[in-house]
Amino acid sequence: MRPRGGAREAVLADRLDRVRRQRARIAADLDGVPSAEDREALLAGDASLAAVERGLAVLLPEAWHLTSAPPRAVGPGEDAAVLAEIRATASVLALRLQERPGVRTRREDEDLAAAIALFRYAHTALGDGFGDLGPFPA
Amino acid sequence: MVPGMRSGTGDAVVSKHLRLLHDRIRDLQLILTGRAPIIVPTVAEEERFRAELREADLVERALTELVPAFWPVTGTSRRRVGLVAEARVLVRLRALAATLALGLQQPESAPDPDRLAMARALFRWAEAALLPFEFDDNELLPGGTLQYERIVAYAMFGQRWGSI
Repeated sequence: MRPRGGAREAVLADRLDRVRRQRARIAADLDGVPSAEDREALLAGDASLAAVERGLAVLLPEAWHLTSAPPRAVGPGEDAAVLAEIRATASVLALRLQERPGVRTRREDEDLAAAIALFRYAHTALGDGFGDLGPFPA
Repeated sequence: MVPGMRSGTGDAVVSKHLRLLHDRIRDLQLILTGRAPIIVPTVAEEERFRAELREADLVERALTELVPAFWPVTGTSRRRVGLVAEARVLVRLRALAATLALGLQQPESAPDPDRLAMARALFRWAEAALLPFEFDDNELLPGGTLQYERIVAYAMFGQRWGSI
């Protein structure tokens, strides 16, 4: 399915909101003085979500040349279609950075981490193997 | 079938590029076995040709072993497709290769260095094949609109082999 105009903006805004709410919950849990083990898990989860947030807020809007659009609800089927696009774009961005010769800059390392985090986030959210690309490799 | 494409378009493009690959592999083998009519490579050139042959072999295997698991390609189609359709298939192939490669790198995936090498080679090949189109970043995705004047550049300058 091909998403209609504004779908990318709508899905990105929705997903970004969800990720930020998850991070706020983690911050609240960290304030509750968790055990050392729990604290470590919470910090790891927050670091992963921070990379996803950077991917949704910086990497994808740049790659897709998105401009700010008035907020609208995500239409039926749009979420999965845009998530499949996110996974494909994140994969291409990550592979480009991995294949590029020479030493990566700090910004490129951050972009690579964000692209990989986005891939994992979209893949987990889709939960459908490869979406319209077929089954996930065993 | 390639999503959003006419039936057989993906097969036609993959088949065309397989023919290009087979021609190049045959040329490289002739050069490296001293049977090429003109070219006698230096030691440095020989190493470069060997690297190119290894890369072409990986791409050929990716197109015949990896891609058919996702798209019904025969590799024998002789159908001609327009450059816009070809570019769209190449964009999808690149996305497929990248998604496969990144998926295989994840800790949850069983280690499979052979498939990973094929997927990465296919990604490099698709990137190089798309270079003449000079996509902007919006064309990273399958299904994006291609600009006609950039397609003309591909028609004029054709497939680049040296960078693969």
